[in-house]
Amino acid sequence: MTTYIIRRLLQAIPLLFIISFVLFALTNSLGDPLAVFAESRQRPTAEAREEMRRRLGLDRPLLEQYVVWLIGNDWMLVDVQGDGTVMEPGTRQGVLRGDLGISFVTRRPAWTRIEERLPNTLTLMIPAYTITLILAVGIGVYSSVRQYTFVDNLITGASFFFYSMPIFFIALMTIYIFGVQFTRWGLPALPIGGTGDGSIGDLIVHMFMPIFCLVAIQLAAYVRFVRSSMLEVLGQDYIRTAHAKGLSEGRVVSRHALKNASLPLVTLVGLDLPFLLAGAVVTESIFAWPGMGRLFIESFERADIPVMMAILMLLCVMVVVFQILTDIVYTWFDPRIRY
Amino acid sequence: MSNLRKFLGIAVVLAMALGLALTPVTAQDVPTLTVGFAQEPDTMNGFYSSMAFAQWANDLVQASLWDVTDTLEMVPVLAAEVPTVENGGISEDYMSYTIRLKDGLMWSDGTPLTAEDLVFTFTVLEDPANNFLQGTAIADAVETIELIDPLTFRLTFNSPKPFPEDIAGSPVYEAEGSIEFAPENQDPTVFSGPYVLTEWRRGEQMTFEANPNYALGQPSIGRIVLRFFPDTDSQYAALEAGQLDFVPNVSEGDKPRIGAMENVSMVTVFGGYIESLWLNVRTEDIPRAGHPALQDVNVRQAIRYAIDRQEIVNTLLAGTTSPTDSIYSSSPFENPDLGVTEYNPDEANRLLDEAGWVDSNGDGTRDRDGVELVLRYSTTNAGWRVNIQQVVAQYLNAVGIGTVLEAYPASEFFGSWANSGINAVGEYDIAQYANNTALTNPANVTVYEALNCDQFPTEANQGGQNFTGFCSPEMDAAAQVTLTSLDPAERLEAAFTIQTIMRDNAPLINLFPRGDNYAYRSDRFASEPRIGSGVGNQWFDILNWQLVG
Repeated sequence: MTTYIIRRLLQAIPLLFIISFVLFALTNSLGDPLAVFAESRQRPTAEAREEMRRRLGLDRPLLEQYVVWLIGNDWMLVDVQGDGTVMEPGTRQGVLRGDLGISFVTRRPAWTRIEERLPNTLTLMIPAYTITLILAVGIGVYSSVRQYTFVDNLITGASFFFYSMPIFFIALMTIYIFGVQFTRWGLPALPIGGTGDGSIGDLIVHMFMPIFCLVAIQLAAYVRFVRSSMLEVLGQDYIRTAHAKGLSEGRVVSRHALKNASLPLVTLVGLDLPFLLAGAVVTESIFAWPGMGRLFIESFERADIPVMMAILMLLCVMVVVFQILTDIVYTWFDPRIRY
Repeated sequence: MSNLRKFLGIAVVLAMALGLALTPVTAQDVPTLTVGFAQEPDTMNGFYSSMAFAQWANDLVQASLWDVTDTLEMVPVLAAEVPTVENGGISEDYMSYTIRLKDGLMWSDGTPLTAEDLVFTFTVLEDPANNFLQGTAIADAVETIELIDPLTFRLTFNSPKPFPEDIAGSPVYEAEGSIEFAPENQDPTVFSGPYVLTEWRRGEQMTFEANPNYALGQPSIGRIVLRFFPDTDSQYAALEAGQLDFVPNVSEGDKPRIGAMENVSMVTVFGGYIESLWLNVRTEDIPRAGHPALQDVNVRQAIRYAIDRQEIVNTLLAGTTSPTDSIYSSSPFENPDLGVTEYNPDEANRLLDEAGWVDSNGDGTRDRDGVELVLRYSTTNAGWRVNIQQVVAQYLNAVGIGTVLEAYPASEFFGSWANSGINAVGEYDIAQYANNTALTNPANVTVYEALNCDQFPTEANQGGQNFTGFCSPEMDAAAQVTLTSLDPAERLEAAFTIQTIMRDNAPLINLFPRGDNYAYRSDRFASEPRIGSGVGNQWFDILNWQLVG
């Protein structure tokens, strides 16, 4: 097992290098970080912009920029005037020495920006995901055991209804009903946007609408998934054997069926968990939630390459880590699996 | 199973009860103005930002020497008076400015704010190590900075400086070494403006409290909260629900929607932007020349005749502005006799026929010598722009001009030469965006930079700003007069000359001047707030804003 984990980690290293280069090339082709100045009222002079471009190293070839991103540029001189008159030593350490770079937008370390947003995203995503999973297992198991009953059909119908709705539609409808219309009708309306005044109570109130939306759109897929994987297991011989032994239905379902049906669910959860860190772009934007998804989209709009790269690399590392964790969890669910 | 169901049932009931119990009661200890910002400021040091939202946030906490009001008057803030030649503040030759501060000024922490602070500020601005993005023009022009006495300082310039408004920078508190990465830029602690920043929850909101030491007195609105709403729909919902009191930067296309809201009113201040169609008249295809038809001034004028700009303004912008042919539209330098080209498709057709562009192959678009008159028409992907683009394309189609419509994210559209930015490399025939007009003096960046003969972007001059390829030595000469002449009448005359040249040569077709639109809750404001124009300080009148309810 230990050998297996070490081997997997070693395999991840070249993979991360390849991914990082591809992502670097992609983020660099997204647009010009200095374009934001074009329509601004206080437009810096053309020379000031050119100098900034050189200072940020954006005038250099892509490969050189990638090497600087990796190992920094404190060992080389930067030609800030573009004519060799002023040579300043570089200041960057590079990702391999733990420096994810300085945000082009705020001139603060990219990692600081992530640190500010990550707790907010987890505050939203972990409860939403937990609620989704609990409801999905509960509803999925129920509708598989009561297959083709009225309740099962009702759940299936509702699942498809929510599944087919775009998140922005649900989110805006929720805001209009609970935020705007409730105010109009004189009912206690829910606050629109933000995380509240800092108290736990206010935070929970602000979490209602975004969590409701996140659960509503995710739930359907998970319910369908649990249901179909349960149905498959319930048709197996050993379930019939368990019934024949006289076990109660609850025991058969929870001990024999659910545990075996969970294996594909674990794979799915293992794939999904790292993306909780990424936040939810649309939900966070609409509910003005200061999370990672918004940070990414804001960085994308301003072509803030260091921040985008930091977020993407964080996710890549997390995907690798969670894949290994998933493999380990398999051995608990299915003792036959050995590495 | 039944346990699970019971648990879920209880959880749902609890959650709902909690929700109702915790719904915030709007108990406010001090009058609080809640403002919705579409973007979060990138820095609280205005010298490092060119973002409108950062400027607005900065103007709350930083006082200038003088402010420019909504009527473009200059009112002193830190300065005892706005310097003029008459009051002796400006030397006869406009080479030096002597500026006296008010007596007894204080920073928010109670320490005296003196001329020494201003001298320090201009010294910091001069230091190239600070890599400022803003103020570099002033830094280049300043020759000497002298402290005369604790309340007075003098700036001497290397050439005459007729426009005092350029100098109205805010003082820097203190700094050591380069201040490019100073923590003060992100977490400032000492302020000179009407408010002090007390909390900045990144990505979410900023809280400001009234500054009792402000030069003009303490504002009656005790607290301002800026909340960041990246999504316009939810921002407007919050405004409609009364959870926001004030929303700056309402886009042109959203005006009808805001207008339909109950208890919400709008203030429009002309901010200096004129939405225009820029025509690519470059000939050398390095990297790309415009459509050959655009070389012909008749074709350019035909395009202007072909578009019913009044109808676009009426239907897409709720009639809140009007078409113009002047690059100085809505400014004190607009030539009132210039006139506006009326919509006249017949004239457009006549001009195009005369220029030899006729539909010889019957495919619906005009052509000449085997070249179809199909123009690449690009703009940014802002929704209201795309709407206008569609309508303009229909007008052009009606006179036999075909279009290929393109919309790009701003970072691509305005990208640099090196990044193959659409504008910079000329990958367009018509580009729709806003140019900036001058409001306080006739030196117009659109004219002296974006249409200047020496500003063509080329391999050798990659930072060139003239993306159209238009060149008129006569206009460049007039632009030089607006920049350097010390005689206001002569500057105005030069501005009139520029307007005539631009109207006749049509290197760009002005659509309409765009306002800065501010929405506010009429049930929260005691009266319509006065808001500064975009060139000045939007909050210049904040001391007179009153909240009710």
